[in-house]
Amino acid sequence: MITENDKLSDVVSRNIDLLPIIHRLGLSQNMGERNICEVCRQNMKDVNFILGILNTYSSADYLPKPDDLELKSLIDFLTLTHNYHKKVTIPRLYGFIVQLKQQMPNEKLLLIVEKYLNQYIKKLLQHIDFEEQDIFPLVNKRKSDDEKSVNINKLFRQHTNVENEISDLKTIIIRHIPQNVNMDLINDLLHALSHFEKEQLDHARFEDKILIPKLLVLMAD
Amino acid sequence: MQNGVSVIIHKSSIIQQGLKNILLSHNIGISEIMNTFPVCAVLNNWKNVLLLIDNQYVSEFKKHRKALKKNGNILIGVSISAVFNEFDSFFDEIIFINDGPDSIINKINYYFSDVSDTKTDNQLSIREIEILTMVAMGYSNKIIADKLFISIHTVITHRKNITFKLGIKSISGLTLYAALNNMVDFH
Repeated sequence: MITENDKLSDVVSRNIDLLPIIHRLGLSQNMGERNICEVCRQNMKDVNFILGILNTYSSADYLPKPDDLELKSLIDFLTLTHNYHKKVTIPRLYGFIVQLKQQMPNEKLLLIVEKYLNQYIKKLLQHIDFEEQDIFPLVNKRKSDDEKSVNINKLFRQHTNVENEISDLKTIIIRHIPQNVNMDLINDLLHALSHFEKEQLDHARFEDKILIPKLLVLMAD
Repeated sequence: MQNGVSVIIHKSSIIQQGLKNILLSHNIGISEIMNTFPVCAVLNNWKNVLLLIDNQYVSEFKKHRKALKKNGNILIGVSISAVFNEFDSFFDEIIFINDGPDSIINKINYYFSDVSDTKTDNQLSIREIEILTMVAMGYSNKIIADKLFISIHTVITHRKNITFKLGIKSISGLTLYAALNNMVDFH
C-alpha cells in the first residue's frame, strides 16, 4: 500500500501507469526526492485524497475510507480523466488505425476494427456526456430524489458489459493479424488498447465503488 | 451419436406411449422404454444415446449425470409441468407436457443433426454459427428461439458455448467476429 512517507518518484517508478494519473492530480512537476506528504503540502493538495486515488489505481482490491475522498475533488478528478480520454487516449488509438490503413487501405480487419472502435467511442462519449450532465451535477443541484435515483441506476447499468468490449477487440485483432502488416504498429495499437482497457476498468470501479455509494449517502441526507 | 437411437424413462405409461408414437412417426428408433430409473450397470452401457428422462427422477439422475454426459449421451428431461423449474437446468433440453409434436421433434432433431459436428473443442457447430449470425444481426434470445423452434433456455446454452469456444464475451465482439468471418455484412 502507498503511504504518505513514500517518495512519489519511487511510486511512479514501480508503476509507470500512475504517471498520467499523477499528472491529472497536478503533481507531476518537480517531484524530486520528496515524499507524498511533502509534495501534497507544496501543491496544496489533500494528502488523504491523493493517497486514496493512488492506492485505488494501484490495487483492484483497495477501497478508500468514505471520508478520504471528498466528493467535489473526486468529481473534478473524474472530469479530468474524461478529458484525458477525449484528448489523449482516443486520438492515440485512431492515430494507429490511420497509420495502419495508410499502409493497407483495403485490409478488411482494419476496416472492421475502425468501425467497431467508432461505435465503441460513440457509446463512450455518450456515457461521458451523461455523467457530466446528469450525474456530476447531482452534487450541487437540488434534483428530486426520484430523478437522482433513476440516473444513478442508469449509470450503474451502463458500466456493466462495456468493459468486455475492448478485451474482445484485442482478442480478435491478435487472432486475425494480416500478412505483411507493420507489426510494430499492431504492437503499439495492442499496447494502447490494453492501457485504455485498464483505464476504463479503473474508471468504472472508481464510479461504482466510490462515487455511487457517496452519491447515495448524499441522497439519503 | 448413433443417429436416431433413444431410450424413454418415464413413470407414466401414457407419456411413454405418446413419446413413442411421436418418435416413431419421425423415424427415430427407440431401443428401450422403462418406467423406473435404471441401475448403474444399465446406465453405463448407454453410449451416444438420446435419453428422454422423467424430470421427477432428477435426484437419481443427478448422481449419474456426469458419467452419462461423458459417454456422449444427450439428456432430455420430460416434464409434466408447463413451465421450467430450477432442476430442469441439469438437462440439455426439456420437453414440456404442453409441447406439440412439432416442437418435440424440433428439440430432438437439433441434437441428431447437430451433435456430430460439435466434436472438435473450439469449432462452432452449424447450429452455433446459425445462432451467432442471428446475434450479430441484433436478434434477441426470444426471437432466435421462436425462429429456430427451440427454447430460450437452449439459445442461452448455445450462447454460453459460443462465448466459451471463442473467448469473446460482448455482443459487439461477437458481431465483429461474425463480420470478419463473413457471417454477416460488416457494413
